[in-house]
Amino acid sequence: MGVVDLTVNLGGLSLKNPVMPASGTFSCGSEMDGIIPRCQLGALVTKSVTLEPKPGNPGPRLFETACGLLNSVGLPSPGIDAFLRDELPSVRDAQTAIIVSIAGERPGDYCRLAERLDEEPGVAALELNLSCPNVEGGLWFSSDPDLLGKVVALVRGVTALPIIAKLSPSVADIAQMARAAQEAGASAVSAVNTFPGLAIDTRSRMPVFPRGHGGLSGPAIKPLALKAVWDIFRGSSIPIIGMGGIVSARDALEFIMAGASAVAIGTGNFVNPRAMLEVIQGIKEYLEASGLESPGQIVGAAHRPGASSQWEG
Amino acid sequence: MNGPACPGFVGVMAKGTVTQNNKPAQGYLALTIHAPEVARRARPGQFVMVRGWGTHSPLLPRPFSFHRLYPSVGLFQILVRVVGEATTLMSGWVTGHELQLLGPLGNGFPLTAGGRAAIVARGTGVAPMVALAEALGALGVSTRAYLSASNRASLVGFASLSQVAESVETTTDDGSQGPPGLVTRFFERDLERLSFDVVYTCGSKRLARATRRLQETHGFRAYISLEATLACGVGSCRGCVIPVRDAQGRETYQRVCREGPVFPLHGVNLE
Repeated sequence: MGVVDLTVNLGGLSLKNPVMPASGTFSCGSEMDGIIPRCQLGALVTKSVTLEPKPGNPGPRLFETACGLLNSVGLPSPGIDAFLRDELPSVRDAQTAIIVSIAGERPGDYCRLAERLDEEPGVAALELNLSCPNVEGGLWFSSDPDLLGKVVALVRGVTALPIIAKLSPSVADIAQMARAAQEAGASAVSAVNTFPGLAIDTRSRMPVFPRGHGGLSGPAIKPLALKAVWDIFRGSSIPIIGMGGIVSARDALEFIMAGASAVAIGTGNFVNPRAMLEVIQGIKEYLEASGLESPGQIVGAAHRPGASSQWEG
Repeated sequence: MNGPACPGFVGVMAKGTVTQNNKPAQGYLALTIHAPEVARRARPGQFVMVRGWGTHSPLLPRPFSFHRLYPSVGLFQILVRVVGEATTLMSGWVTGHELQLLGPLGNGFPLTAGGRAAIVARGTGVAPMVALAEALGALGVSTRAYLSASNRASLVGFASLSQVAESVETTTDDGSQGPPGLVTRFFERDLERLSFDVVYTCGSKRLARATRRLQETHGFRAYISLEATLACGVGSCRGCVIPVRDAQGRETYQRVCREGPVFPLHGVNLE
């Protein structure tokens, strides 16, 4: 039996293994080193950074639901200047790929952020947060393929860094969004962001969040997210970072078999702070037990001819 | 003696084992947990994230402050009010039940040797105060406690505090142990003849507002321990922020889990 090689290549972005945190869920500073050594992760993904400092939404920002978590955090950001000065330096020594998530209100915002980050050493790729459900306009970028393609193309024009487009699940045809991202020059897509959701306080007869809705994550959304990854794999050829409710290696393997080349863990980090390490180990053990050498050998495995044809018209 | 020793440290992930699950009052649990590393590092006012169910519902670990600390025998105790799905599950935990822990987390109460301290707490807000009173006692601080609860049975922590504090005054909403009303009236009475260096409060915004009014006239230091729904517990997710006013009057969001859960009383929004 050969030795398992966990390295993956996402359209030019090389990672030591296919497991990373979802943006906004894992502190990228050294605080977690005693619990999760950053160097063991496939990549670090920062919380979304914006041009100007933003405080985020007023609280409450969290509400637990059945097997899920609603959040209305709303992209708090120190702004790009403070990020480059205070946060990026502490991430650079992480000895793994640094993916910086960027978010804007206008297409030009993404360009200006990409220009600033393009000059910075130690940034491996940019993830475009086009689909945050908690900010005005957020869903708009990722619900119109032309607009999504325009933002990606603009960023493509100002940086040579690999671009990852983070997709919203709230669209009629997510594969169309993935194709638009690919045609505009994205190297990969992250799928999916949280699902818009709502909770109401029956005492106040008002939504629990001041903004009304939030974004739903956690095991509750896993089958929905898995279907989105499946659809993207069917309808496009762009590499996929799969995410949505992954808490175990088995969950991650399902995403890989649905078509993800890598996976991200978000809410799972809260449920179990060592979830990412356990998923890396679990994928390795699964491949060893199956006599396989690379996770690439099972990417999209569930799509093999005939596997599901009896269920489709 | 003052908070966590190393900057950036966010606690340890550890296995814990339930050694005792007592019911000190109707609707309350006092869970004693064996986890030597957590017990050794913990300081009064810090908290621990606890998860002890194998299912996805409840999903997130729950935060609890340290109620009692017994580092020499590797134990700590948390005080739990049974209010929902997770705490109902916890009421069924028996000796030997295994837990996933992350802690100690957050900043503990600032402590200074000597002088006089007051503890003002209501209901479950007494949870961090017993460990605090013990630490104050060890530092030679004379401590007076002022406790409030809906009724006599809900005055959990009264017996423990009575052993370590110089005095414990109580009010109860139904008059069953102490008259109804703000327990800070006893504190105000004591302020007329005694000087206090520091006040620690938890569990009631109403009592915190009354404490702050007294702070304005008497000038003692005051700290409040706050509660919030937490997800990560370490500051990553930014889900637990509250508006806090700095010395210049500028309001910023601060994380209850990371900058707190103990805050200087003057900057916290108590509306």
